[in-house]
This record gives sequence, C-alpha cells and structure tokens, in this order.
Amino acid sequence: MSTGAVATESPARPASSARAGYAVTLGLRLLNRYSFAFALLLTVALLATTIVRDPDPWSNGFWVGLLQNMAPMALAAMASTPAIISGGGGFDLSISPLMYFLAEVFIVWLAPHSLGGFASVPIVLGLGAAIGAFNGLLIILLRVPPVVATLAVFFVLIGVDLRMLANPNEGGYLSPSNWVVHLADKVGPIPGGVFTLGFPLLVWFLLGLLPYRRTLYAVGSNDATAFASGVNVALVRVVAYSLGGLFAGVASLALVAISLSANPSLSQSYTLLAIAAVALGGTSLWGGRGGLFGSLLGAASIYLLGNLLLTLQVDPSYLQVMYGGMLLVAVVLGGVAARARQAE
Amino acid sequence: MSAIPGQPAAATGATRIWRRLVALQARFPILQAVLLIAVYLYAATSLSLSSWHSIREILTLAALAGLAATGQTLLILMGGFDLSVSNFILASALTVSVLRDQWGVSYEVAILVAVVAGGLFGALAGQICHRFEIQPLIVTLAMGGIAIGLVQVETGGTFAGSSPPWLIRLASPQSDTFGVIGIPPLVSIWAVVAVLMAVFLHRTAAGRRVMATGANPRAAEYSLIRTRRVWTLAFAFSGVVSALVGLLVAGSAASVDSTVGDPYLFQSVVAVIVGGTVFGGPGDYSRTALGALFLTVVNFVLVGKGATPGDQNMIYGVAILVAVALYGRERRLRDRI
Repeated sequence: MSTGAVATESPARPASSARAGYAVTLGLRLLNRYSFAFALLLTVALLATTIVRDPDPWSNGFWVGLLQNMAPMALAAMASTPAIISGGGGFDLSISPLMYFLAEVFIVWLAPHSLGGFASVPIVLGLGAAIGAFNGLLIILLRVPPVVATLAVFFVLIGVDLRMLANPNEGGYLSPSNWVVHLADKVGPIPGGVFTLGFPLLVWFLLGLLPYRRTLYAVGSNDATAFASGVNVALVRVVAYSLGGLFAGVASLALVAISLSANPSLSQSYTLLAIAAVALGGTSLWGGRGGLFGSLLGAASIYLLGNLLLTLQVDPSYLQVMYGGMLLVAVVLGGVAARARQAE
Repeated sequence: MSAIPGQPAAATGATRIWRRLVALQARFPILQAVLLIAVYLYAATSLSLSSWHSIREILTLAALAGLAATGQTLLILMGGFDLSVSNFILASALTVSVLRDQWGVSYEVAILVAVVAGGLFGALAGQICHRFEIQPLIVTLAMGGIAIGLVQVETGGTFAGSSPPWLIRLASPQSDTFGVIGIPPLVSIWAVVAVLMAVFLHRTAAGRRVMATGANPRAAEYSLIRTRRVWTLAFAFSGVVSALVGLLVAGSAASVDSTVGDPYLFQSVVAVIVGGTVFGGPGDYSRTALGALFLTVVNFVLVGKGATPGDQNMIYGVAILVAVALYGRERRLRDRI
C-alpha cells in the first residue's frame, strides 16, 4: 500500500517539477528574446489595477495626468539608456542635473528674452546634445571611467544649477501662458505626454533604420571586437552620450511643463529613479542589451506602483524605500538573468 | 632604456630630471603637498588664516572630511565605490537626534542602532555587488535611498533636530582633547585613525587582502583570498564609518537638518581622488588625508573669497576631473586587443 502510494506519486513529482522547470526556462527564454518582457508584464498588471481602482479611468484627464506625471522620470530613464548600452561601464550620472540645468536655461534665459516660443525647442535640445557629447568626449579623450567623469560633470552641473537660480522665488517661474504647458496637458485631442515620450522612441526607431543602432549594440557587447572589426568605437560612444543629452533636453521640457519652475535643490532627484527604471526595463548594466522601450516600461511600472501605494493611503515616506528596493530587485533580477544566459 | 630610432639615444639633462620627478610623483604625492603649502601660505597672508584659532578650525573640518573618506579610501583601493556616504551620515545623525528623542532611549542605544544598521546595510550592499556582479555605484545608490527612506518613515518626515551637548563639545574646534591636550578632539581622533589605517593597509594580512582584491580580483581569488568576504566586510566597514561620522557631523552642525550630510559625499570622493588613490590601487590613506587637508584649505579660501556652495560644487567637479586625468587613465582600446 505504502509502496504503491510511493509508486504512484514518484512519477508525478518529477513531471510537475519538470513542468515548473519548463515554465522557468520558457520565462528566461522570453526574457532573453525580449529583455523588456518583465517590465511589460509588470506595467500591464499595475495599469490594470490602477484602471480598476480609478473611479473614471476612461476620462481624458486620467490618461493626460498619467502621461504628464510619468514623463520626466521616463524621459530621464530613456536618456540614461544609450550610454549604458554603449558598454565599457558606460553610465551618465549627470542626466538629472542636466535636466534641471536645461529647464533653468529655458526659464531664466530663453523665456525672458522672448525665445520662450517654439524657438526654444532646438536650443534646449541642441544644448543638451552638446553637453552629452562633451561627456562622451571627456570619457573618450581622458580615458577615465565613465562613472567618475560623469560624477565630476554631475557636481559641476549641480553647482551651475544652484548658481543660476540661487533663489527660485525671484524669476524662477514661467508664465502659465507659455506654449510648453500644453505638453503637460493636451495638444488638440492628444495628450502632451505622447509627444514628449514619443520623441525619443521615434529617434530610436529611426536610428534602427541606420546602421548606427546595430553598431551601438556591437560596441556595448564587446568593444575590443567591435574595434577590431573596424568600428569607430569612440564615435559610437560619443553619439550615445549625445543622444542621452538630447533626450534630457526633452525631459527638461516635460519637467518645466508640469511645474513651470526648476528648483535647483532638487537637481539630483531623478538620478536614482532613472537608473532603477533602466535596470527594471531589462537593459543590461554591462552594456549591449536592452533598449529605450524597456526603460519606458520600467519607468511606467515604478510610477504606477508609487501611484497605487499613494491611493492605498500608504505613508508617502515609504515611496523612497520602495524606489531603492525596486532598484535593488531590478539589478539582482538582471544579474540572475545574465547568469542564466551565460549558462545556456 | 632601449634606443628607439628617431629619438636621441641619450636623454638630455632636463628630460632626465623631468622623468625622475614624474617617477617620484608617482610614488609620493609631492605635487599635492606643494599645492597645499602654497594655497595655505596664500590663505595665511591674504585671508589672515594664520592664527591658532583658524588653524584649529581648518584642522577640524579637514578631520571630518578625512574621516568621512576613510571607508571610501578602502573601497576605492578595493575597486569599489560608495555613493551612500552622505545618506548614511544623514540617517545616522537623524537617528541620534530626532529618533532618540522619539524613541526615548539613551544615547548609547541610539548610537548602537545607527552603527549596526550602517554595518548591515553596507554588508548587504557588498554582498549584492559581488554576488550578482553589479556596479557598486548602483547598489550603494539604492542602499542610501532605502536608509534615508526608512529614517523618514520612522520620523514621519521630520528632518530637524538638535544634537546632544556632549557631541557638540566633542566636535567643536575650540575644545581640547580630554580637556588637557591642546588639540581639538576630532583632530586627535583623525590622527589615530590615520595611523590605524596605515598599519592596517601595510602591516596586516587583511589589509594586503584588500589591496590584492583591488589590484586583480581573479588573481586574488586564485591566491585563496575570499574576495566576496573582502567586499562584504569592506562595505560594512564603510557603512559603520559613515554612521560614526554622522554622529560627529551632528555634533559639529549643532542642529540636524536634511542637508547635513550633503557635502560629505563629494568631499569623500574628492579627498581620495585628489590625493592620488586610483580605483583598484595603488593608493594610501595618507594620500587621502593630504587630499582632505588640501580640499579644506581650498574651501576656506573659496569661502573667504565669497564663493557660494554652487561655486564649490563646480570646483570640486573640475578637481575630480583633473586628478583622474592625471592618475586614473585607462588603457587605450587598441592596446586591449
């Protein structure tokens, strides 16, 4: 009897564990093929919960608010992504202070000098791209670790931010009639967030039509091999940092659109969030894997989770703990996935 | 020296002296020492910082910066990095001021909680970095965020408190060690720490293990050094040091607010890097001490000249770049194939 029970049970157990093992393998395969799969699932689940809990989810205000509030963080994450993909410990710590710097340029210089119209867009984006390219050149020419070089730029930019707008109450606010507020509201029937969030995705898509994006992944995977195959590694990296600066320019517009100001003492506020979103979005922090879409989804899941906790009356102080925790979970998951990839 | 075609076979006198100077600079931080003396002489003459009163102030502030950079020195020598210094300092300062009042416990208990928490958070960061091969920058960023968040949850968002009088006395530049020796207590503590660090790094097996792990982790692993343990303990050490410095900072600031830890992240990084310690070594705590002194004197000059905190940030950023460009350059890509 007892042996019979064992006999009937023992074949069943390997079968179920094999099924579980198969599910894990399938999950890892999926994650390998689509690095953003985890963030996508998380975003869909959180969005569904948010919609269920919201009293009026199909109103226009719900989506407009969602996109506008999420935009600066998501754009900061997308701006951090190209440098990380370019590998070699690539990293741009200076994105968050750069966003505030460009926002201050808009508020303090451009708007009072009647350049606050659409002329500001090429100026802000161009300045962002130029500073990003400067970061890249520093790293390439001085041959210093990207983290240290961009940490230095991080300090310099925070200093410049504090200097430019020593007292945000004096001239630190934009007139609410500026065109930029539409980015936080609606442009015609379309939420403004679609434009700010869509711009980097469009640029990224267009780059996919050129050889550049593929070359970027090649450099990120193994820079020595790429160099030996005749790739201009230095140029590819400088362009990657410059793209980050360009997207930081879009992020600064989204930031100004929400708050009509840029408090310099908050200059570092997006640093942790951006990295957490990138890591959660499945981009490998060692370069060569991932993409902009993943970072957008990573940012969306962080924002939605925070939002959900707030509607559940959780003490807002817990958000900071949650952001740090999510960053840790994301990088650990990334590490496990990378190990599984190596084992295959 | 091999004779390369197209180059003069024998170096001229001037280039030989230059080469010798460069070699000497690689071994000893001569440039930093000369700069320190020059800047101090300038400060002493034009800003009247030569009195014993102001020397005490300079030394006390340098001691705080130098102590805050103790963990950073060890981590950078080991190939790590700690971005959580300022957050741990703030968390610890809040624990001994605000939370102690709130919990109604004695100072000993509050300090113990801060130090143990700092050590545990640090150890966890080191474990995660090593086990999952993640850049320490990211893990310590997360850890710092979590630590501040937890303290914020506990205080209910309050970020202001007053420090205990005995801590203020301990951290004051005008009090004497044990009330007898004519040196500020912080400076005495710093001197003891500097000696201990020198002995640890150069005269103990554990110190050699840290250096070996930084120089080449794989080679260290082959020589039976358990590098994961080295990483865990070094990060735990950094967390404990940050928590202890948090106490001193709480004392020296007299009152605690949300910005009290801010200067110490870049001061710790700048002191180590300007001193000439490189990621993964070589380097030394004495270099960091020199870097901290240099940084503080420059700071005094800047403030004397009316520089704002923003200006200081900018100058620190440039100082990091210059120092790393001098010392920490990596190999060319074409030499790595």
